Amino acid sequence: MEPVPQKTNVDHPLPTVSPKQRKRKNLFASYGFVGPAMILLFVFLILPAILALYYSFTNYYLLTPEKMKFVGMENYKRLAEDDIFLKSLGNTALFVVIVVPVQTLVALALALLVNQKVRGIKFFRMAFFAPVVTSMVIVSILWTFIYNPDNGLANSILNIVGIGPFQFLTDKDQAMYSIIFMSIWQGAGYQMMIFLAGLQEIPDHLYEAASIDGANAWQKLINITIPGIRNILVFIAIVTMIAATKLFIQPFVMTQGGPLDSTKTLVYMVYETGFKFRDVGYSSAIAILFFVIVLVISILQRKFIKESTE
Amino acid sequence: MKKGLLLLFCLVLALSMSACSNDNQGASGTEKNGEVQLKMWAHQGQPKEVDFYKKRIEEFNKAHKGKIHVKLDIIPSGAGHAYEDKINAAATSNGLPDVLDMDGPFVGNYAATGILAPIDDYVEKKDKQDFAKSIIQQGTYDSKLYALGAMESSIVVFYNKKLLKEAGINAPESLDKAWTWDQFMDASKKLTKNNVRGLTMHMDNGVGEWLTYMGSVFVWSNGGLLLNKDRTKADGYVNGPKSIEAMNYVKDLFKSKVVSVSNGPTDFEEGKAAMMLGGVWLIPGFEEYKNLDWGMTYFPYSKKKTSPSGSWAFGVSSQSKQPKEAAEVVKWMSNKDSVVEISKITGMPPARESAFKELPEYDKLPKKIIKDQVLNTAKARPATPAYPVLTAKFAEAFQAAALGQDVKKELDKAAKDTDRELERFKK
Repeated sequence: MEPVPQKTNVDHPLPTVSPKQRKRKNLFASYGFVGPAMILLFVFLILPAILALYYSFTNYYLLTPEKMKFVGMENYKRLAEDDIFLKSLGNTALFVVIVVPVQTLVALALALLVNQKVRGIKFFRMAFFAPVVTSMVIVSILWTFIYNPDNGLANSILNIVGIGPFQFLTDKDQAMYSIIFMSIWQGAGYQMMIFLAGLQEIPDHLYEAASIDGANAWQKLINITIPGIRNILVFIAIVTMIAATKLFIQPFVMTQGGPLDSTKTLVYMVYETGFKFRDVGYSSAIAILFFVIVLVISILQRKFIKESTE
Repeated sequence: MKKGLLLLFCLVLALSMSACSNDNQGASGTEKNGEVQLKMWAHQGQPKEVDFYKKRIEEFNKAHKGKIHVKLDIIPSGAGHAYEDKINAAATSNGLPDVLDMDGPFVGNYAATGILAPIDDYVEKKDKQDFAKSIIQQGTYDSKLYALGAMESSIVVFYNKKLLKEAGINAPESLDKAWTWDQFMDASKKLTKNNVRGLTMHMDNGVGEWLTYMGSVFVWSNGGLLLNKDRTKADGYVNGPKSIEAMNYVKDLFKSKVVSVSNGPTDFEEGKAAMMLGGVWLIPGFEEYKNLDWGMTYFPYSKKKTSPSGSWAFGVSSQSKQPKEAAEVVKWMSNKDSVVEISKITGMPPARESAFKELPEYDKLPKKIIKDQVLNTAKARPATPAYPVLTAKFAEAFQAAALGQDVKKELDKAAKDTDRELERFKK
């Protein structure tokens, strides 16, 4: 078939607006829509980021900005020898390495569970989702009570099973794992909901066909369900990763980075150095390095995912 | 061209936005009908304390009608550093009020960074002498006076009379018989049995100011210091042999299990701990526990009798255009009437010697203990610009001691970090 020749408006030109003018008008409108968001982004994201980069080369003390001096790489040199920075980096890494896979798997398992067509399943969906809509600060405060070594709920329950008591947040070897456990519990419901949406997209006839071919439940999971939600899986892994590196509220509320810096994370250190110690210069250097680390991980992740989707 | 226009558009909007945020929150010091208008911030303490601030400022406005009018804002202090964060933010954006309220040990930092203006010129020498020495100590930086408080504070050893009687222990009732560290350790050990600990130290308060407030007393009592006399050096002081010895004593208390890092906030009140190193502000709360028969005794000592000190105090911000009038507010909030009244409301000891005369309950036991400490053994935390770092690092070292870590290593870290911070303020 011949392509339909494009109609030009030479024969019937619109009386007032030429194509060029219309294009310009559209452009103006589109900038009008994008503008406010761009300005907000610039003022609250890009500008602070540029300033942070600049401050990281100065000795800016929060209360005496007029005495700010350029100190070159000094803050970065100090970072290299700072034990607490290394420890914070390690703590953050530990949190990410455990939370990302475990939380994703837990969420997937929950999604599979609540995807059953059983009466009253909506209650369970709601129950698993409830912690997500609760403020993290409140969740953290509640879990501080649950983790109380002497009269907390956690030890009472473990006592019935015959283990414990544990020190939880007051022990340097247990505090981080306590926070990890709580964070997975709190966040898994969110990923569960996204998984659930993905699961319901998979057409039923695939499962029916598999049943006819004599596939068991495990084979169906591996060959139909997982490939069916692969894009969602990737999305969730990235989102969880980014959220996990930003761990702050839990240690801020529950442990203040302690005991013995065992729950101090990079973002907590940025806050502590910048506000408590008022050392904005050094704090900015930590933030910049943190940015670089997240950037590198994101680039690697993108590369890895591009290859796998091809 | 288009890009240039867009950029210009962005800039104009950004500028107008920042102009909007520049509200009139800060020190006004303006005059209206010949009346000087002042702004004041106070932290949100106990509800009764907040009511007191409001009431006292109302009275001030009445007494100075036509001359000075103060508008008081109560700022939430919350957990951690919310109130301080607010001051920091305001200081950098020229938004400080004329009069502000701050925790005693931070006066040094605020004075050194130029947030506070000295008030020596406005306070009479005779009036100054009436304040407890420790209150003048905490308000003084570089031999200039910056802040005056209405309240003092102290930590005493609270004890459960019933449990002490059962163990056959008599707590000292006069300062010259105060417990030494060894006696205190013995008593704690004797009192630790069954499910009852001999002692609780409120380690559940976290690694905050509490640990420095309480912990520094151990160092001082043992003859150690956090900083040298000029407050220019931490190395050799906070990690000096006497400080290490003191922290090892704390470590031993935890090691011998007379006290636990996981003691709950009300273990003493509930009878799960026989003694408590606790702030005197806890006393009003004891009324809720009908079964508790409590007494108090002095902070135990090693070589020198020492007790903690320091509380919220008022100062004049350097951004105020009316420092003289602002100083009037500071003086009003710390005059004898204010001191007596806030002391009655909060149960905190008064900051003035003369106020003790109006409060007869401080002449007999158990409150006599507090008066003895405030007037004889109280020592303020060092007024230094490096205090925010010093207190955080010292508190971490104290917690490390409680958790059985190497005390010297932790104190060395505290010394190193504090010295680096002090370096910043050297000219």
